[in-house]
Amino acid sequence: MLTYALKRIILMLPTLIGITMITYGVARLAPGDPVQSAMGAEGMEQGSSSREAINQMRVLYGLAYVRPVKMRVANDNPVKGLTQPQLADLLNGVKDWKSLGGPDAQTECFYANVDEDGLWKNVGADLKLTGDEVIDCTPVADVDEAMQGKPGAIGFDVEDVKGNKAFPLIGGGGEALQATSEDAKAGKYRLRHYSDKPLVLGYVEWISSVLQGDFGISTKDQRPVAEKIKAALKPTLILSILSILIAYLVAIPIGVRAAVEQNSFFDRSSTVILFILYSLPSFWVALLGIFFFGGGDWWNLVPIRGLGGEAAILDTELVRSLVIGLTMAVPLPIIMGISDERRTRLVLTTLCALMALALLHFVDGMPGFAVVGVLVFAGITAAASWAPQGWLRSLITAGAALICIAAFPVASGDASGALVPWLDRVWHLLLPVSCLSYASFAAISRFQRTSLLEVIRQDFVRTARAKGLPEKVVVWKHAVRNALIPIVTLLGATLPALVGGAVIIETIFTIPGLGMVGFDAILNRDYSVVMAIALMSAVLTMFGILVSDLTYALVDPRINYDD
Amino acid sequence: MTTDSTQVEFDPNSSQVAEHEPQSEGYWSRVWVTFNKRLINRMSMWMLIGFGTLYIAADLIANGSPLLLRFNGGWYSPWLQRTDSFELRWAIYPALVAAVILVLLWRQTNRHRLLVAAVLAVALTGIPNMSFSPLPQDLQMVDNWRSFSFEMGEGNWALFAPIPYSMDDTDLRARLGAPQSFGWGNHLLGTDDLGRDLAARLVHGTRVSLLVGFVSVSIYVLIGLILGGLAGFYGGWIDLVLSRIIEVVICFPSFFLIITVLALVDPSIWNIMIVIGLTRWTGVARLFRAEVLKVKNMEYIAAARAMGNKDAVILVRHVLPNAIAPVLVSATFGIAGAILVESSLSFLGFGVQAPTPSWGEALSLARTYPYYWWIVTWPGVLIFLTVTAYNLAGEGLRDATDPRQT
Repeated sequence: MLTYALKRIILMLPTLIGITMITYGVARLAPGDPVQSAMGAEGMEQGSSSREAINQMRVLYGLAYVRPVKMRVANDNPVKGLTQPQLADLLNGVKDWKSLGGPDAQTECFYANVDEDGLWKNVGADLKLTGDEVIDCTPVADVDEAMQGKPGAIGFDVEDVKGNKAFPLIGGGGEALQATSEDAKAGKYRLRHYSDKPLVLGYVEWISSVLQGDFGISTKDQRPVAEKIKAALKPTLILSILSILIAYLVAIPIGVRAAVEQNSFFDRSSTVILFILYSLPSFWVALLGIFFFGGGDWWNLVPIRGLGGEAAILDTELVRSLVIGLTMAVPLPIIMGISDERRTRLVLTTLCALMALALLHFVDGMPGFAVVGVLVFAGITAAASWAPQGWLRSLITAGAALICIAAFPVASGDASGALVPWLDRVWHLLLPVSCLSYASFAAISRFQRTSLLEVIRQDFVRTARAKGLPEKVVVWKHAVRNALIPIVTLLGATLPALVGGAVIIETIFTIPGLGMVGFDAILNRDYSVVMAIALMSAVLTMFGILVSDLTYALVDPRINYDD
Repeated sequence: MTTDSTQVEFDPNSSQVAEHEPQSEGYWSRVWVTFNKRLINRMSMWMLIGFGTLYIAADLIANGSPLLLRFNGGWYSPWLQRTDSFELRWAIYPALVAAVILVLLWRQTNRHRLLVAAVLAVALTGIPNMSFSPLPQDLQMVDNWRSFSFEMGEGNWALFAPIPYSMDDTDLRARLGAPQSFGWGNHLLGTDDLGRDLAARLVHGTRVSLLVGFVSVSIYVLIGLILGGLAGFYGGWIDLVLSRIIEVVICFPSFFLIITVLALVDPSIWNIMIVIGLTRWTGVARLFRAEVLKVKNMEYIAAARAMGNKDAVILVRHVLPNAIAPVLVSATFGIAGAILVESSLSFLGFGVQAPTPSWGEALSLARTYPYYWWIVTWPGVLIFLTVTAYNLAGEGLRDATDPRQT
């Protein structure tokens, strides 16, 4: 067992590296740049103000450097009647500044064509830049001093960090760019994944900032990514945990009955109904739900947007209860009832408590009373695992769970008069949660049915029947608790997968969870957020699979992995 | 984590494919008989055939131009003569693919059936080459054939498709029209926000959904077979590396990954297929790896090796036929899944681009107009029926290939 666990954990490392490499690679190698995409079609138009804005954003995010250059006059080059923006457009049209040569081809800079009075020179209508315009290049140390000379003689050279494009800017806007550049130099807004270094070095740089929990900022609203994700995590956790719980609570009894009465009317009809539910696309069901229950020509029963209630307090409360519910209050009584070995019970209790603490820390920075709650709960459970009877252990654990969860609102001090917003929240959650949960009914109950059928055929069940136990005891005590093992351990792998999975439902019901935030980020090319969400759910899924495999191996001693 | 109790019963059945000549009753013909025994399986087959017909004959079912026109003594087909050749490709490709598959299966079928298939394929692909007289100038100007057909005068007639609308015939006067009762030129399923006939759009939308379903599943089955086969057959460090790759891809939330990648590339139908194919192969790879692990220690593999066969030959001729059944079952479910993914993508606006219709795109209109029942209902019904048909077929196939049932 220990060898198996060690092997799994060691093998996890390459997987982890693969996950981060894919995340980084997709964002780094993405064509286009975030600013251009964020500005969209507006920015693509050749208005000089929007280009200034683009340049400013590029500098701000550390996508480009700004360097003031002094432009020297090219007397023999006619630039006829061109305004500054027009000339800038012209210069922008030149793709490859390096090929324009000049005395210093390595510094990519450009020269505007102004005469000695600072006026634009005349050119013919079909002017083509040949390279003759570029004469000299002198980086300027002090802008103000240089500006005292002739107007228009100072340009700002904005150079892409990837070094393949230049974004010249002439005249106005330069000072703003300079100011931006100071902010950018502080590295406050720098996009962590965007770098001028080669792929491998850039990856190392990015992964080291990620390991410090620093995902940078969102290009959409300048908020730190970590903060944004934390805010979005709560609605998503509420949705996914509730729908998983409901799915399990509905599906497992159906599966058990279908297996016990194999080929009966109940078995067949439940199979058909669940099969139909399984085939219904959830976004269609959501739309039908809105159509029938959300106003319009039919009933106006449920709200169809948002989560309602006083979001912040309620979410925290709900999430705490749900986290403890999912990691401890639901599995522990079941484990206590199922497991016959005290060592297994103790190990699993510790594991569940650690998971609860980790999740609590992740979700709301682990308030003291929650830790106390978890520890008390774990303590009672551990003490209960010395009790000889399974039902007694389950009962004690379940009681402890109820008390600990109920103590939360009291401990955090907002228990008074909180009922109305709670009901409002439940009301808002009705449609989205049912849309998310119905599809898993079929899968879970089929899984339960198959696994129970396999158990029921085994010898020890026949023995239990033979010694005259009532059918109820045979099914529920001997068969079901063995058949539950794979299904309960499956939880660990399912939950993290759901974190990134509710994109459509969250978008339809405008619930500001991870799915919607991620979808929004994808639309806005906000790679920092996309990367963080993808990475987080991938890593969580990986750990979930590991935990579920290890628990499975721990609980089911028949399986030998040490080969 | 699966128990190994089934493999002993499973393999004697399937190994017949490799060892016996086709004239004996083979594994697959027995599967087919078992599959056909149940009414629900036959129903799912018929539904799939129905959707296949919609796919191939969409132009003949919903078309704004007359299929056949008798005008002032000349024979014309405005549909064929004015159709963008792209639209016809939709029908030709599957016909060719069907013909190729039938040729590949030649040894297992009789010549008569092959002849029929060949004639069918030639007929389908030959349609564009059939020559009608060129459209006269005044007919080329017509853009509303429905009203034109009433003004053509004595002795002229036009044969329309059952739904006399093309997928992009807009009519802003008929915007968001409710379904009308039967009658020529009525909008049986209503119209969308540009006054396009919903029935015509849904019929043509079949093409996108089914094509995406088939092609993306073929892509990922191919990837999965290759990687899973290599991992299972060779084991050792190849298995270790490939398993890690599989693990990495499994960990990512696949739908999220798909939209991320589609946001980077141009969301054309081909890119959608490729992206779905590249992100969903892990299930097949794992399944096939496990099957290969079971099969590779069989005696007939040892026999094949003893006869001096190369690894590639053993893999393709002996391992593949005996380990493919679960993969085919999962591919059938996979088609349903891919159709769902495609409609979700189109629903979110990442799918095929206008004016190509698809079911998901039709349903995405319901987000703007949530209270128009025909816009909410029909596309969803079609998606649901297709997905159900494929899931039922998959379920039937699983029962039929499951050795414990036979």
